[in-house]
Amino acid sequence: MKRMIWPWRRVFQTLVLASIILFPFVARYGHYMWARQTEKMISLWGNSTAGLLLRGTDALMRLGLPIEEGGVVGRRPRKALIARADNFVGSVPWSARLFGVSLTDLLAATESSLATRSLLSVLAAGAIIPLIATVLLGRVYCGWICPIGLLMPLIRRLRALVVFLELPVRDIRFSKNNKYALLAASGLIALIGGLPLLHYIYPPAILSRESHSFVTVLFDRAESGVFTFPWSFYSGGMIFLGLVALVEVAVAPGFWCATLCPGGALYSALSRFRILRVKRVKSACIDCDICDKKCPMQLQPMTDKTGAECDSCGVCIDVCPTRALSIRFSRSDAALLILLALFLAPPARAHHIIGIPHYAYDKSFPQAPVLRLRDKIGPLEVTLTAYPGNPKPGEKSEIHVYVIDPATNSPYEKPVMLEAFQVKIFGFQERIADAREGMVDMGLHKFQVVYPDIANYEVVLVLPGYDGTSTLRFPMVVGEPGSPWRDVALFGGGFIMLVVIVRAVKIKRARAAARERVA
Amino acid sequence: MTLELPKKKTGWMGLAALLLPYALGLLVMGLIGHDRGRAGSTVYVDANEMARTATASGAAAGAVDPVCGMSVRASGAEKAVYDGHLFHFCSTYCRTAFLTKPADYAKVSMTPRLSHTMRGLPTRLYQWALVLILILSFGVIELLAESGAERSSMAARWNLTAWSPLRRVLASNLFPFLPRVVTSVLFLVVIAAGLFGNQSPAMNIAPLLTWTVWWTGLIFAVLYLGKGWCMICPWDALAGWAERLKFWGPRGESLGLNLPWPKSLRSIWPAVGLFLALTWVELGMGITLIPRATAWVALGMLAMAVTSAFLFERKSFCRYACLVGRVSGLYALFSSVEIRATPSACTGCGTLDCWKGNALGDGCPTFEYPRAMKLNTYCTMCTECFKTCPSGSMSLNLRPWASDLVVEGKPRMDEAALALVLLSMTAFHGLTMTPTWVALLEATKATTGLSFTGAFTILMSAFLLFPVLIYAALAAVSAAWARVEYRDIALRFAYALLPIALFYHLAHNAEHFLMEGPKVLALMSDPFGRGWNVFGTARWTMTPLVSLEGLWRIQVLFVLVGHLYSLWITARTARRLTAGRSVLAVQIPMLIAMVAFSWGSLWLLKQPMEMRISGM
Repeated sequence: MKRMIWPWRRVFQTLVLASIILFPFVARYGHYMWARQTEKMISLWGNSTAGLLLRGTDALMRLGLPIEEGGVVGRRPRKALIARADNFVGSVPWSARLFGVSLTDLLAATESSLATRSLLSVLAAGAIIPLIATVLLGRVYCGWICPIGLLMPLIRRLRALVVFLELPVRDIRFSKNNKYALLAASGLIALIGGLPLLHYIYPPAILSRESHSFVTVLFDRAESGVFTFPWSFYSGGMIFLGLVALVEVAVAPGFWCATLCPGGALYSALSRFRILRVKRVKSACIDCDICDKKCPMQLQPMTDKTGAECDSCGVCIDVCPTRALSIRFSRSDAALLILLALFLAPPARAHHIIGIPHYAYDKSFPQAPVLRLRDKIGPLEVTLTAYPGNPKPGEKSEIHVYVIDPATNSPYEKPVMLEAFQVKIFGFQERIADAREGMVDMGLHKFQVVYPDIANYEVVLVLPGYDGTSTLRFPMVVGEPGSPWRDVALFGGGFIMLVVIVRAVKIKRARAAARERVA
Repeated sequence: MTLELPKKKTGWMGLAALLLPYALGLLVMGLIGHDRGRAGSTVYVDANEMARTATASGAAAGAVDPVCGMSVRASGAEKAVYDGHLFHFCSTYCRTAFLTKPADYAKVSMTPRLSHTMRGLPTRLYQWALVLILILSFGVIELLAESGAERSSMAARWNLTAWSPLRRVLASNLFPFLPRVVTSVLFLVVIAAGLFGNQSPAMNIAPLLTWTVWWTGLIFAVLYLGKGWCMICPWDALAGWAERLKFWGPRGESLGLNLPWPKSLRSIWPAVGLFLALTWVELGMGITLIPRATAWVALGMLAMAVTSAFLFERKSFCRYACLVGRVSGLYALFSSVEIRATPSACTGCGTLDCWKGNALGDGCPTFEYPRAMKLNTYCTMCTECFKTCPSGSMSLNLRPWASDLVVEGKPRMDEAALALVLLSMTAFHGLTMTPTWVALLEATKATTGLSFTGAFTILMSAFLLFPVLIYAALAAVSAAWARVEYRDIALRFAYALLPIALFYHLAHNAEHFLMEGPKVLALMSDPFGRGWNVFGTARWTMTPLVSLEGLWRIQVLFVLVGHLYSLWITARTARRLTAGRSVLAVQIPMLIAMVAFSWGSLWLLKQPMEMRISGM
């Protein structure tokens, strides 16, 4: 029996995907535990989606722990649970802290450092392990961790459906150098303009961000008493992923990872001197070409053309009929020991808030879009309170901002500016309220905002007196926004599907009739 | 250019029967016209205008009736002075009500409100109408049914297509196409407004144009134009264009599959189901006040039409599933126009072009055989048969009202069921706008512990069954008494109920159409509620077309006319079924049913009505 590699890889990838989905819940759960609100929320939310999910998280986190604290049976063991939650912080695989060890995606670290033109110690600490792993092992991140490696092959199965529907499919191969060009161009933009752009299109970042955004919107709405399912949590990133999937299915299977992914480009560039490589026993190879056809990275293992692009997925080894291929450490197995030793390195703690990694906070690095009513700006703690929590369109609503310096315990009296934007489809924004100063009342900055329509908004606080650039972004949901474009898209999509299916049936019928005539 | 007069043999009675619908129409117009002077004093102010007035504290030109909440124009309105303030009223009834409890009403009037209640029929008028109904039912009806002149007068026809320009228009490929372009554009505007426009129903044209102008106007149109709506229907137009990628002329190559409609669904039960579903979402979910939901319903219908067009042959959807087509189809049995073949021109025809289609046009899209077509129900007036027929046999005729209801047709279970459903659902529709409904709903919610939707569903099912059970019981009595097959009675007399349902529908819709409809002129200029003023009418304050007193007269007139027609059809049907003493045995339980239903109609009209525009 040949030992296969792919089951192990799938197990690994599934674990990562599960973490992507679960971490935000764990983070939120830890948050409620800190605030001693878990029991209240569970009883308050009942059997709503949010309530069920919170209860599920609670059950998962309490596995193996008795409901008992300080001798009181029936009380949740708060400290133990918080300690547990603290082992799973952040958004895998983009940036996370697992059991106290910080791990940061190299692309995020690079781009963030380029954009801010500084190397923060938290960032460097988080990047050490991934960096060494990549230098030694190559693109293992792509082959074994990135969730796209799991999802895209599944999505590509739709290709069979497209063929079945008699629609044309193509198999275009782009140049593998495209991804380096993309990486270089966006690196330059980040360096010159201070604009990190790649996180918009880097799939693992998109997935973990959407997962956080979903959980945040769901629970924040539940907190303000809205229990419907938050259909509108997704952002433009999901649309981008959908487009990639479409191209993968219809035009160029495998193009993203092999030819365009900027993360892949970075890892490939770093793994020039990797020690983990695919080896071929020339005498056993029968030149059957199967491995070349199956290689998801569009490489040629049959002629040893793998190198830095290989993501060590093991597909070629699994499919080789003569077992001519294997994956081996080339330089010295001792390198493995170095890697293991690194895991024991003293844990560096990156900065995470409600599970979202925060690097170069004060340098205006765009954060993951998160709904949150408390935040920090440098040493200052900011509390934003909106009255009402879910304002009505066209009606005046109040926003109170309280900024306090915990060191001196005195409120921040310098001006606070507020701007408001309506968030449109695909993440476009339209300004609905210009920046203005609030009315200061007992250290409280008061604003009035009128939201014109049922929609998603973003309220932006600027503290010009603090360092001139610091901003905080708070999402605001007015009514139950749903895009009319969604309805149009639903109808249009349904119509196109109908036309395609009817067309396929007609073609198949005509073909069957022609066969019958020949027979 | 000769207009052929009605056939001689039907005589003057025939001419009278032909002209009766127009006489009635003129009478209603006359009532409206006579009333214009008084109607001018009652005006509606849209919600935003009202809000502005309320903030401006004390409007100069307009005032609010403190009793019903309606806005009235100060000049020419009824007035009363209380506590040093001048109050204006929409009618003497509101003034009288005010004078009984002035302090309470005056206090209420100080708080602005965005709704108003429409006063129902006054008690005296209600009672008089009831008396008239009873007299007509048991007195006059015998005379009408016995008169022999009747039979021939119903055969009167006026062939309009004898006028060749009209025939040429109907046979032209451009004819259904051009009006369909207009309705399709309007339809798309409604969808766009519903989806993208201001979601306040007062500032969006979609709800008003759909529910108040189109859906109520459709029922009026059936009276005089039959299934004219189906001819210009944008759902079918868009679906057909998409399926054929062709805009006029015979269908030719089709992109669709042209499957046969499933045998088990070859009835109008799908349409009955859709009608109930629409009533449920319309009233149970209040979509008449939600622009976006209005657009969803429009898109949903379009989706069904397009899917059927791509899957099934001809216009299966129109024949079997379209609720609008089937409801208006049943009502069109009553209408005063028809498309029929001329038997003399058809003899010797061997090609059957009207059924099979030819190079000039399609075979009948709704699977009728035009040569043998006797009833209006399934004819969509698409005029394809005018295009295909080589011998010019088809004609568009004017005819007396209810012509199809007195000919001997083959009664069908599904059609009879739709007739009863129409009767109960139009009444239910009216009921939901009355204060009684609120009490009923609250009581149901309290006793069953259900939510609004649950209680609504229970009440709707109850009101769906209630008239059906009354009718079934009375039909059983009459079958037992006259020894006639129960099935015959139950199915045939269901058709006789159609005029009651139709005219109650009209009476109810008259309120919406005449009182709220004019607002569409203002909304036309700003369909999306974005502050546009395309035609310069956006700031108009529209007055209703009639005053309350005028409306009441029209409503009572409608109920009486519907009742008369129903009675008369009952008498005719009874005589066809049986003879001698059993005629009376069949008729009396049916008379009781008719009186009960008309009484119900009047009672509903007597109730004060929460106007739809109160939210608009």
